[in-house]
Amino acid sequence: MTNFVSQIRRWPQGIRFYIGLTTVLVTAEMYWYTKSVYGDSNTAAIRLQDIYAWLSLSLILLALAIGPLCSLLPNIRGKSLLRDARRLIGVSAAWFAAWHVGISYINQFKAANPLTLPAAYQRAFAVGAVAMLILLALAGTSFDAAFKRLGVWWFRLHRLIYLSVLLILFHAFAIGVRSVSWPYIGTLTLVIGLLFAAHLYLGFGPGKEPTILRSIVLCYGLLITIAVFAYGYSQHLGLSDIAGNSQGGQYESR
Amino acid sequence: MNHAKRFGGMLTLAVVVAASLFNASASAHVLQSDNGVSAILHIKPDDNPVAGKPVPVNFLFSNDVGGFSLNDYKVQLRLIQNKTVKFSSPVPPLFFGASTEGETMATFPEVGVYSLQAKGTPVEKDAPPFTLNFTVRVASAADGKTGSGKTAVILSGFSLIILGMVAAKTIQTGGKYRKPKLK
Repeated sequence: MTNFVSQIRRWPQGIRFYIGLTTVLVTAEMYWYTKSVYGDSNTAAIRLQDIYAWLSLSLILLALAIGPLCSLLPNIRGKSLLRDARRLIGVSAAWFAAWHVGISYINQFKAANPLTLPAAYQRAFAVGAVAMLILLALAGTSFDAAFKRLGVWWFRLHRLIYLSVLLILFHAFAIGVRSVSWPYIGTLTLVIGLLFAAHLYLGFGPGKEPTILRSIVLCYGLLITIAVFAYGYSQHLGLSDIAGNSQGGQYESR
Repeated sequence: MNHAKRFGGMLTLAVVVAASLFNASASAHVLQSDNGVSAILHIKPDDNPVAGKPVPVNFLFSNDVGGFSLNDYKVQLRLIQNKTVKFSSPVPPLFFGASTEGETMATFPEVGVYSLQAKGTPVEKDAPPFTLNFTVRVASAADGKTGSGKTAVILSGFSLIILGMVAAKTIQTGGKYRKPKLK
């Protein structure tokens, strides 16, 4: 018991404690903001799940950027703080994603049987559900005890975050109203592009001898990412039947 | 592993409890079903119609057995307020050959709460008729906002700044991230 109490007393000395507090605070504040702006209309729920979704994706990309940043700038100040923060940033991303799923599925779709939804929504839901499961698995194993118990499988499991990001992008491009507008898709292209450039430099840069596995993973990952963005840009150009950019459907946009 | 189980359980419970607090009524961009036919309503561009302004009203249809086709129906859109039909329009397929997506332009004449009804009358004898009702709230402002949210933004900003200051001070004092001095 004394050990536990002394452990809790040490929490405020670490960045993770404040990231956790900020996450809970931001969750409540976003709810307060949307309620005060949109009142009791369903627009409040739509905006809120939209905000949570984008917060989740932003935090995932931030967590993914920390590793390459620390490798590219080994003498950066606060490196240990950044590495320590990464765990709770990832957990917070899963937290916001769970809120997004809960509000969308229960409030907007009335917990409908996914098999009765239109095909386009079925695809987006399936992809989103897999991404959510990966995030929950990663959040659920983001503890020292899990790290010790899983050993090398912890690293293999946590590599799935890259797959999760691709699935999330596909989900956003398929079903998100805003995601294929220029500011959003442009920012995503820039951020993902920079992340890939960093990984390619770290993998194939001067003095590096990449393994065959790493080479294959990076190349295929790049191809699949380009494919996902090609889908996103095709949605932007109006070939979508959900994102609302359509100017009369695929016949007119051709 | 116990920590992970506890955290997972708490996360799930929090999501379920909090989601139950969102008891907004059925409305745009949600699913409604009747007689085996379902539709998702989307009022373009952001599910937030403005009074007096024509907006595209889009439906994405499906049914329990699969193979839904709009060609089997004549779908009529009605905007009903206080039991009076304020607007009515047929819902054609979004484009030539579209089988599941229909769209029409609609104007909500004034601010208030409407029942948006999509009624499908079968052209084909074996297609089931359906009536889908969505509740839509129309706000007065052009951006659909009923409040400014300034108070929420200012107080939230303050709380985050104070939290940041406390965090910076406590972490600096704690010295957890200081590099150890070489002897």
